[in-house]
Amino acid sequence: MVRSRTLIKVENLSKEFVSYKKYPGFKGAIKGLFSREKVIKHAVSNISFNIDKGEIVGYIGSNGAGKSTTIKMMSGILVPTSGKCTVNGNVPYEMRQLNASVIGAVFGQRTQLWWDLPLSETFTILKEIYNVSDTDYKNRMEFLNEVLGFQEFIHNTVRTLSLGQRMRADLAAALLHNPEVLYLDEPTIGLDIVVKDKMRQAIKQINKKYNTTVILTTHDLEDIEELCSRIMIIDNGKLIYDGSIDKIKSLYGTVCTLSIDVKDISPILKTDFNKVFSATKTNLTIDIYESMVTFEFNKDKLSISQIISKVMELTDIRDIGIKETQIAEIVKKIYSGGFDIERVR
Amino acid sequence: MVMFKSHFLSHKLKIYKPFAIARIQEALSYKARFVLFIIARTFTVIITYYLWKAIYNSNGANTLAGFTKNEMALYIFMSFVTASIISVEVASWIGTDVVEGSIAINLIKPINYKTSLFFKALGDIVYNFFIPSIFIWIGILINQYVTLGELPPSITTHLLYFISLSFGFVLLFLFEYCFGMLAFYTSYIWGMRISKNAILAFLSGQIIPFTFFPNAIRVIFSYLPFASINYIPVMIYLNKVKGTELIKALTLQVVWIILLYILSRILWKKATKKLYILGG
Repeated sequence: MVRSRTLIKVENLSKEFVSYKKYPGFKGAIKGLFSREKVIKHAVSNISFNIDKGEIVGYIGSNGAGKSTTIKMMSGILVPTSGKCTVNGNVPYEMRQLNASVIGAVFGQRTQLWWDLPLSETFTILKEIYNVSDTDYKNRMEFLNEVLGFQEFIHNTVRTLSLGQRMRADLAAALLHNPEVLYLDEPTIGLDIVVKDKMRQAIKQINKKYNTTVILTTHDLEDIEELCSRIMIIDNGKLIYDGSIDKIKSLYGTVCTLSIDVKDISPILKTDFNKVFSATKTNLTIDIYESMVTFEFNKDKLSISQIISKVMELTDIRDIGIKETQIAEIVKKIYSGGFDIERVR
Repeated sequence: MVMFKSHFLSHKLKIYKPFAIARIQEALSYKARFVLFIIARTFTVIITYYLWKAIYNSNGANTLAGFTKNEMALYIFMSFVTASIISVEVASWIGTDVVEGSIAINLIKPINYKTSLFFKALGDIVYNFFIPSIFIWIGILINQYVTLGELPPSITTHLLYFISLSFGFVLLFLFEYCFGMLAFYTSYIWGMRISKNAILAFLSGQIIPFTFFPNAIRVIFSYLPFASINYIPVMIYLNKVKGTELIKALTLQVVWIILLYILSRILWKKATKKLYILGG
């Protein structure tokens, strides 16, 4: 495969926010008038990465980890405290307007639509702002309507739209000028499954058709699994993982859950599986509920067939269920500090 | 070159015109709010009128500080018309944008934030001009003719008034814009806005003509930028500023526009560095 060109370069990017300490209560408010104790928050510290043209990158992290701050620096809204970032060769916060013409953004919690005007007005205004030609406008509107379906409510005032309608319209508005980069900051927040799916399909199709680079932050890991081949995980302002989903799964996703429904539970109850497989508690845990026995084990130490054959020796098996680790569980463990991050480095 | 320039301008106009039009449409969709606002303002001006009437009556004098009773009435109402036309709350728009974080949306568009605000303000002016200013103005003219037999001021006076009014608007816009930049530092400017409006009303001569003040204060006040917003246009309309005085007054307006423009650019540069988006 030919390696495509790098579109976004981020080098040692950091952002600090300075605020002043607030003291509680009325007394505290008075105190706050006279003493100003600086509190420095390192929202983003020293992160570096490159993103190629046409990639869809999932950018994940817990609340307040620094995702949005990074996106805002890449879109030219915030000026970094140190480090550098270029998008399509431009430094976004130095050439804000130039950069703005090649990016599109959807911030799930805000809208870029004209609140008090019919939706169609927003599109015509954006057409002028981005200087989109009549033919391009017509073609893109057709395409976007096909994937997002906003024709039915295009003449409604924006403030009367439902959240799902508004988000679809917002995504269309971000794409009208066919941006090189699309930043999506929690684009599926609060949406129902049908709309979520529509949004995902749209993002996929746009990426395919226009080779648009997409950077997506989300708390919905289904978004990630369905759209992204690469993920970056940020925690406490530091980039702790940057790589493919498969890689993170092979690194962390070693835990497998095997549920076996047996005919007779008593021989199972009598057996100490940890001893049989000489496995420690961290590598194998067993949970028994009525006739169902559940093994949670490390795939590196034990194999599924090993366990099944042992159980079959003891009794007859009625049913088997196997569950591999979901990316969501991995991420949950990373957020709560359950994984040794250094292993990835 | 001229062709290029005019094309450039017409494109700019095409980009920013929607901001003005959207503002008018918004105003029309929140009619009740605007009507209430107008009623409140009209009450204030009527109270001010009766207050001055009482002052003149109790004093017994026909002329106070160079103003006859009728001139004073005209001053009050024209002051009101002027203030109503150019009243724009740019600082509070910026405040809301910063507090609600919607400034982020503005910054990801290839548009100039200040220009977009300027066009929004223009939209307000068009709206203000028709509702209610022009009607009050016509009322003033009719009243002058019917009760005093006075004809409206000459076309030249009107023209000069409009020029000065336009300068006043640009100045007020720039002042409001600079004031709005405070929102980037304090992130909440509502309280300050209230005091600003009170001070502005006083220093722009909207409440009391400067001629009532002691000489030294009068001179200082008339050189401050606030005089250019209201006092100068109204005095021009009343034909009280003439000849070299007039040229001086208009020049002063232009000088303040240039100075505030420079200040606004500096403040914007500084403010955007300070910016952090509230609410994620």
